[in-house]
Amino acid sequence: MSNHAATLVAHKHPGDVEGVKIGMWLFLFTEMLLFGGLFIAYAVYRSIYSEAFHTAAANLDVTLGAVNTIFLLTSSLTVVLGIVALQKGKQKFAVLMIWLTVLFALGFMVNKYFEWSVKIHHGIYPGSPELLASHDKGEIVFYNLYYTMTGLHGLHVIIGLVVFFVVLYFIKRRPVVTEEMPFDILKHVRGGTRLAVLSEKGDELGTVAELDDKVELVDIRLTYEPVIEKMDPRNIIKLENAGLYWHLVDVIWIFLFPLFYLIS
Amino acid sequence: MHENDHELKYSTYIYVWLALVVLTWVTVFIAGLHFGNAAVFVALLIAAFKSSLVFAWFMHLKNESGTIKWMVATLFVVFAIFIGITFTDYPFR
Repeated sequence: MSNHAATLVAHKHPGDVEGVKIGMWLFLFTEMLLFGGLFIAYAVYRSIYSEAFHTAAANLDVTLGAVNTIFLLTSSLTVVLGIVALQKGKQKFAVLMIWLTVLFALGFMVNKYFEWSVKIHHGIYPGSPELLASHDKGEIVFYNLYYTMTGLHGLHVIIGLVVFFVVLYFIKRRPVVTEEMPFDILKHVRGGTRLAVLSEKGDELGTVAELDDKVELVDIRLTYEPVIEKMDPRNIIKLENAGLYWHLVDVIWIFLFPLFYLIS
Repeated sequence: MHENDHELKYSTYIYVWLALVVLTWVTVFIAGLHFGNAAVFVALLIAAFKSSLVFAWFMHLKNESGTIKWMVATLFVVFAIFIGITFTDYPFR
């Protein structure tokens, strides 16, 4: 008979953190080249229609653009603060930060909505008869680029919003986790033994099995609900990758803002 | 995440954010001075600097492994080549 007390630590393995991040960066590269191509198109047309770009840009609202820049910069801040909070185990603060991020992103889209509505109301949109009749070729190119690039960017903001809701779901849920593990402590135990589940304080929660000499191998399957403080570490990586995406959306806007709003 | 353990501070990021907001104001201010073509150059320079702040701090590139840093550097070189090829070709058509 032995009094061997073995502690089974069932931890969720964070997995290949580096690999997950490399994967995310590779995806971001495709995004950078997607927008990069558009920026090159912008540069080429701007070198051709330099004067028209200046005239057309005067119709854009610098204040709205600047406010949106601040919105996105602040939302980028709240994401990183959320990551730090999650690393510290401060889950509630992390969730609050993600909600703030979502709020700023929505604010950005609301501004964008008003901005576009006013322009469309004035007949400035791709293919508008008014635009084609009254503006010169360079200005039409400017507005087409404006709608394509800020539109594609806005689409990315919406996708980012969805991604943050998915991350929120993973952080807030308390999943029932099932894990299987081979338990080879028996190798060290001679004679009859008893397998029991103990609480953290050492109270016996229940006896799993009485084992005798004939037992050679025990497989244990644990089903448990993680407490919130010991949440799945993979959630941090999910939030980090969502953050990487969001920061790239921010960086793209950092270039869009001066190139479209500040050239009049 | 473990490699970032030494970085568990909120304040650092708030400073970076402050710098980004100030630089945004500077960009708007300079654009109001009507420097002409130089203004675009300055605006792009500030935008590039702002982006590098976001990449280094917010995207944690500062603390990433050499592999990821080199990957990102390679992408920038590739993009620079795209720009270079475009502008050695387009103005001469």
